[in-house]
Amino acid sequence: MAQPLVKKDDDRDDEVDYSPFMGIEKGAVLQEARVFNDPQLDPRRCSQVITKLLYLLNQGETFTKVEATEVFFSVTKLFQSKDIGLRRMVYVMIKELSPSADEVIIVTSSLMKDMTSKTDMYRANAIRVLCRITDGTLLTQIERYLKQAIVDKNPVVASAALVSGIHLLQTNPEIVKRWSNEVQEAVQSRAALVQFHALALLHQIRQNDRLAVNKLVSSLTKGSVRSPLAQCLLIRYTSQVIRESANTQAGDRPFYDFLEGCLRHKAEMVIFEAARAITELNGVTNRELTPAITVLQHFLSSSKPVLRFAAVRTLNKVAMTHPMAVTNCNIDMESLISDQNRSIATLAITTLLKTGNESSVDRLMKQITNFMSDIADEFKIVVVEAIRSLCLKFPLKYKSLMNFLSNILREEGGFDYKKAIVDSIVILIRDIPEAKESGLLHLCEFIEDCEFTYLSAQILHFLGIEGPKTSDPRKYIRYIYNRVHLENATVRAAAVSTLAKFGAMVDTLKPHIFVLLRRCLFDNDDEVRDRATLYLNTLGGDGAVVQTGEDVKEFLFGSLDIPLANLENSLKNYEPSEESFDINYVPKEVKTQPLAEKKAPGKKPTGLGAPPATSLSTVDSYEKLLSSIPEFANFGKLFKSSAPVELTEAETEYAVNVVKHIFDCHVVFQYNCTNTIPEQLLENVTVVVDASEAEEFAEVVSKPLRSLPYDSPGQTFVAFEKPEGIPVVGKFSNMLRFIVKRLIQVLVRPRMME
Amino acid sequence: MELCPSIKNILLLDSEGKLIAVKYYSNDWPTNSAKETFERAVFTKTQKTNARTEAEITMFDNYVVVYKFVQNLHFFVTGGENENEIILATVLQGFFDAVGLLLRGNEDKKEALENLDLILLCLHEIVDGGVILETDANVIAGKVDNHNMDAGAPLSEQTITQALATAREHLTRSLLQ
Repeated sequence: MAQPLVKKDDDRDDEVDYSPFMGIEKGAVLQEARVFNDPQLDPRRCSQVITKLLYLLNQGETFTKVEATEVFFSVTKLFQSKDIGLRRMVYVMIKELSPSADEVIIVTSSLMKDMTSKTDMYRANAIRVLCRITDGTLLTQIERYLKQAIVDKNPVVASAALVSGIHLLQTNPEIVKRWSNEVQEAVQSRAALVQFHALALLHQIRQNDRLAVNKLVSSLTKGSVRSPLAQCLLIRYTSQVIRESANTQAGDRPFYDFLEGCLRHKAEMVIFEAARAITELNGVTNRELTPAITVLQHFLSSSKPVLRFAAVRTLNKVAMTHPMAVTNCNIDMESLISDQNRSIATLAITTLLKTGNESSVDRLMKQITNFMSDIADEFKIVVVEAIRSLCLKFPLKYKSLMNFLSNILREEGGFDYKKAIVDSIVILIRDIPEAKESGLLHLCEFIEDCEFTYLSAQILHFLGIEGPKTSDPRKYIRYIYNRVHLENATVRAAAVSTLAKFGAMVDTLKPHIFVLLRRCLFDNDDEVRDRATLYLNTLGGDGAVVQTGEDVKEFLFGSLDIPLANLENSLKNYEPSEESFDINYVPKEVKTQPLAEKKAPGKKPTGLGAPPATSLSTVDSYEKLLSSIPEFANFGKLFKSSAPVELTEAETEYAVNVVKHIFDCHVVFQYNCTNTIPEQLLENVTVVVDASEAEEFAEVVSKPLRSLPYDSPGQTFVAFEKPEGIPVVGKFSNMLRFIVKRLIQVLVRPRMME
Repeated sequence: MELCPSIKNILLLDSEGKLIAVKYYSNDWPTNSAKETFERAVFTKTQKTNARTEAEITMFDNYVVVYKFVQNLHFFVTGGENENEIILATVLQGFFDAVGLLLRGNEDKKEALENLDLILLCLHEIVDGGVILETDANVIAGKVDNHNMDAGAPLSEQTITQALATAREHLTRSLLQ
């Protein structure tokens, strides 16, 4: 009875693989597109061909320039048909094809005709397409129609014009700004979405004018806003206004009542937007937070995963700065640990880890242990890092937390996960003295069975630093020496170095170490043998209990100050001669490399702040710069510099980004400033830093920038003192202060001949 | 611009992760291969979850993705990591329900492909360049389909005859499976 079986398979295959586009091929479809040129257009057929073309584009098929142009030209012929369905497809197709400037001309007149058509759908779509493909000159031609469209009775047309305005503001801001009055009128529209779009556009037009935004927000928060989307916008603008208004200590925050009122709105998106906005207020108090947190707590038990997720993610952020405010939610959070959505579960756990108190730690650890086996590596890493912070917060609980970490270290896991655990254990060992011995032992046990060479080498290196400082270093030797037998060459070499470190630091161990190192001389790998030889010859005493000289320790285990590239160059250039190679002659500075992407010189028309001087791109050039400033000379060696972080938005008049330089006991903020106003010269530019949320930092010096002319970036610095050796966190608010001098061009008329 | 809610992409994939219709509204995925990688990643990450009764949500790569499945259709809407998740879910629901209306309840891949033009028009009416145009499914479907219907008969109110026809179709399909 084979036949029925075969038939059944056929049917199933049909259903699974069937597609109206099966076997579709670009060339064939382009051929089919010839029907667009027919004098008698068949709308249905043309629509089908357009659908096929759109399908191809969607699937990632590329058209050559020639093909695209050809298709575009034939599509434009379809304007001759009056079929509504086809016209709609034509609009979508033109948008997809993104014609170039010279091609656009062909279709402009048809689109402009549609823009004034009686059919609303034509007007709306023509506006959207035209604005997408237009350039500045065409735009001024159709501006009149766009302004009319903004206040059109039909909401679809109005929205089309407003949304197009939002996009056009990026490329032709001067033109769109002229529509202010019409947009203002549209904000009063009774159609909900028109108000939303108008509000979005108006705000963007006015966003550099703080007073205007203030006025807008004030009037709308008192009036009626009709759509939830518009209300969300208003909440965001209100938050912006609150952020930028002066911090008045007396009385309630302005507009707080409005935000709090939104917590009782009908629409969930508004309630959530308001709750989130409140939690993000600058210096928010517990009293201000309470109503927002109540609402979020309610969302935690919603049946909708989206609400639970949004709530738990926001509460997670709040817990970082106001853990006490979130503790009321702990019970709801604990039930989320078993949420089907693993993102929600992980967020719940990490929040509990932040809000938990010392007594709940043990209970939490038990719950988490069960939970860990259920989730993927990426979530596990998040949890591990949260546990690390928890341990630093409650150092007395290190035992149960360390046990937890070592247990999960033993289980299955990928490299990133294991590395996160090892990093956590290392940090605990460094910061909690009582945890050192057990931590080191856990790491030793781990490397007995570790599949990742990188981690074994890292741990061995760390053992070499911390092991000798313990009360009984000898117990680690066995673990280290076993690595020399059992592992690959990289790990063996690392183990040899570690053994040598023990020998160098702990004199009583020298005899034992020498015995072990001598055995390493017979290793298969030359790096291992070389290291053993080096150590045996330099540690001194040939196995007796003697002290190793400080200079020897520095030579063997100190860091290399010289950039490797320079060393390599010098070695290549060295010619064998009487004089031996001297490492002291290798230059320590790195030549500043020009950035790979060179920005074109010259002025940008929109006045975007030019990026800061591109020559300051490497660590060593930072070092050079900082050491040339006498005020920072005694800060010591530069530990690390961050990448530049933008402090201002794009298109502001004065662009500032900051680079953070970390020293042992100091932090220096380097503010790279750019003045984008041609008629202005800024003088005495400084940054006033508000470090009220960075209690452990103390400002020591501020170095102003004398003069900042147009388009010539300069730097100003502020240095802070910080406690040495321990991790500290601080938040710094920055305000740019300067004197502005307006430059007036004075024209000198040539003397007329008498 | 950052304050206006913005949609980064809308995807409609099948139950094997192959795309049916997608629309990208941001430059975060400039090449075809970047897009394919994203689609594959988002599909794999959500494959084993059950997003059929309620819209589900996940985060990766600094994007928030809300999604919902029906039959062998997988709907996704992506936003930036600080976007209001509920706004994204509203857009998703609008798209999801509008497609349901346009496909007259036959929400599966075959039907979707046969009505790809409707789905593309649907996307065209929901978001323009990242800005939300419309979230009400009835309005969206109405705009897309008004040239197919007789005047004044919105999709959601079918005549008795039409309703019976749809029901018969459903019954036949389920018997054949």
